Amino acid sequence: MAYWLEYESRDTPIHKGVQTLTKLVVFGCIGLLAGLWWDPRYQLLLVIPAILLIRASKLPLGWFKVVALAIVTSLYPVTLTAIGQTNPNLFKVLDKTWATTPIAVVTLPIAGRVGLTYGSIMWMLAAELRTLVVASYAFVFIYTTSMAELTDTLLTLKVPRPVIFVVSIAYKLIPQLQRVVDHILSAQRLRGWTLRYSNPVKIVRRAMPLMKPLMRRAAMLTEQITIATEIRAFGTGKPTPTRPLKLNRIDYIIMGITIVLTLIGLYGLAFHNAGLL
Amino acid sequence: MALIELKNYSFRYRGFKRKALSNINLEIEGGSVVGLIGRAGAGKTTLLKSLIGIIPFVDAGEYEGEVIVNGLRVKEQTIGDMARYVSIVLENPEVQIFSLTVRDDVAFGPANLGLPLEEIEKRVQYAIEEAELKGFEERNPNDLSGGEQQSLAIAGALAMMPRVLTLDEPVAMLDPVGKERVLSVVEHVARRGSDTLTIISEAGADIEAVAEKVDRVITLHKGEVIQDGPRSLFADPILDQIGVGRPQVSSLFAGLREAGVPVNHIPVTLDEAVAEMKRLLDERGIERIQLPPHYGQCQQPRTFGEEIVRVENLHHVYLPNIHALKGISMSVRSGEIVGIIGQNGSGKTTLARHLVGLLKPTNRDAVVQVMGKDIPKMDLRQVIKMINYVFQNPDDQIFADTVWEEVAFAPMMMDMPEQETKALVQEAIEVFRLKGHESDYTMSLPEDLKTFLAIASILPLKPRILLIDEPTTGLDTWGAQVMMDSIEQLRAAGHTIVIITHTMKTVARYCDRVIVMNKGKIIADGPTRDVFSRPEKLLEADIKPPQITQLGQRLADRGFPSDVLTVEEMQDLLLYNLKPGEE
Repeated sequence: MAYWLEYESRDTPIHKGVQTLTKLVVFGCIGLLAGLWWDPRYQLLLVIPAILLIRASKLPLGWFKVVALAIVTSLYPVTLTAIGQTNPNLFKVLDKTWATTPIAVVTLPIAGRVGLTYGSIMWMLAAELRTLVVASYAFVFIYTTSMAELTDTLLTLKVPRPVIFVVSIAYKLIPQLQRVVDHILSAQRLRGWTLRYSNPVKIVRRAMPLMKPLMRRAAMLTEQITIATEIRAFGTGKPTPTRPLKLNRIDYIIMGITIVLTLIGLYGLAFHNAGLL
Repeated sequence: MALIELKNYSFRYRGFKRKALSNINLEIEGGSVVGLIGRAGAGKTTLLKSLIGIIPFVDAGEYEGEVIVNGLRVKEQTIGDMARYVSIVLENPEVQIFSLTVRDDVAFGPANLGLPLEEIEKRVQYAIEEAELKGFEERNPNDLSGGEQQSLAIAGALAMMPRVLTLDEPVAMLDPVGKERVLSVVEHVARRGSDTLTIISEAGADIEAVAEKVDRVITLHKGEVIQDGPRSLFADPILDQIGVGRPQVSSLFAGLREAGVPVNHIPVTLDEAVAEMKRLLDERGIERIQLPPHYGQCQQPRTFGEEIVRVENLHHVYLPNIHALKGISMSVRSGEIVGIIGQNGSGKTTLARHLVGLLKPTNRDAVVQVMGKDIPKMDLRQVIKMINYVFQNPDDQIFADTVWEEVAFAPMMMDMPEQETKALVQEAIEVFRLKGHESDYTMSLPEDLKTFLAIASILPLKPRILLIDEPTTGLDTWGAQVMMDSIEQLRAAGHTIVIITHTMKTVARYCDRVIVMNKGKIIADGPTRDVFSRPEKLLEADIKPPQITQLGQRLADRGFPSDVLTVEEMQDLLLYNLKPGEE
């Protein structure tokens, strides 16, 4: 069973049929558009292919628990930023009157007019959808790409070897650490440990039985994995990619469509404010 | 010039008072298999790390003298440079595997050396063949058994074409057939006529398997070489004295010699033992041995209490589709010591997690009851007072500064009164021989004491049933003995014990009953003697009985029983026949 952020070998079209470079191009383009677009309706356009990819790659939906947590915890800073967006001049595409229609707005002595408007709600939605979109594509990429495939592709792309080394170690270490966390958590729960306080100071103190073994094991694992890679000469010479980049017709088609659509998106954004609020 | 030369070599890890290695002088030629023997902490791993440069480049410390490999002073090279000449296979195969397929993983090292693709392919083919992985090239390493994964790690090392192949306790985590597979690969590599030097380290648990394969023995004790010579040194009683232990057949024949039986030489392998035994019997004209009337009743017969664990039709499916348990039904009676054995991935740990409520059954009609209560419906804090589980790796658990604080953690979490906590902690510390270490810093404890501490820290909860995962893994023979004696003591105090282990010597000696698991099912369940007398059934689960049991089975045509469990039992049997009246 794959842990969160762990590659799993499966017989799906995304695992077997698409090259790593293609996935990198798709991920890069989507990430670019997701970062630039501020209209949630545009972000929704990116969610649709994400859902298709998630289904096609059979990505475990449990991975999204972390995204849900991230969205919930980011609500506070996102809302804090959103409530400041009551100025009509901030909106270039939406009807300014509609966008600044107050839902709950107050006027404060120094901050001025703050609160939720239709426009700020749209902005908040876009911010949270962006998290979902980027996470979805990143998850699909990690779940369907092995460390060897990624390393070979990065080598072919002439990415500096220290960068590849760090990426590779992280790729191997993150799932291993989750196994360790799982073991530590179980071992301490079997000794009656629970995180039952609401006081943050007490929670931190209470977390020591988890944190200390985790830090120790993380250090041990990092050392073991570093040694295991070094003794096989990783990062010492100029490596040979064992799977030279060989793109299939489907890769060219996917990359072509993605790049064209991205260029259209960028053109629309640059010259017609498409994707902005 | 020797392939490896150590000249007055000493090393002390930074922050430690004692030297891990002290004044080592060794010369080792190529083309042989060397067993590096010693208790945990004797300096074996330090020595292996010194050959490839992990010491001093990763593990820093005080380095004196010289380590020369293939004519190169290691401390003047980098690990990358040394990786061309020396490979090391670690105990845990998981951290050494990086790729999607077996072929890719074997190619990882040569590719990092920047070799041309044709050369990489040639090396991959060679290593896969040597490691007996032909036909596995396109398999995902995660789908391989533990033994196969370790063979893959060896293949990855071999593809580097090293002059020196070192293996750091390579079979410690494997099931018996996995151990055999890995050691047969090692032997194959060493015997194919090349001048590769193979060094295998061993702490004692698998001394029988290692003794079968090596030409030369180097024994380390407290960082010093105390023995260096041919394989026959495995029979030297000094191995017992330092806590490593000898192969079971060596102990048997040494015992016979002490009892006055004229043993020609003390064997160290099973084949040698069979030959020597036949010679002894032939000399006395014994065609078939007779069983003594008390055979099989050596241990005090035990009666067990009521059924306190009951499992019926338990299934567990891990997402997306791994059927880890397939309708398990079993029970445990009060006062028993039960051993659960089976190959890596057979479902032993999943079953244990169900018994303590860490997992819930994935089928509705499953029954998991402890002391008549449904575990899946109970709160974990209630469960752990009835049944508890100790994980294999003590580093997953230990966190407190001192031994006392660690043992007092569980009662503190359960809000037990201070006086009661104090008494319970004291008791647990005594059972696991931690007395005198109460104020010791937990992180500076040796591995054996850490393992004792992990179990001791559960005891204050007073669970009726204790599940212990691999209680003797990582321990040398002395440590394993202390551990199992303490477990016996717990049983005497009224606990019921379930151990999960790959060490068949431990099961044979201490377990009343054995449950054999294979691919999520129980394929055998019965008294230890009955289960170990069925080698064909055990093989289904990649299990082989202990060496002493195998000796009896190999001599079945001379009337030996197939269910001898311990050296003492075999010795009684032989003395009854060879020196009647003196057994």
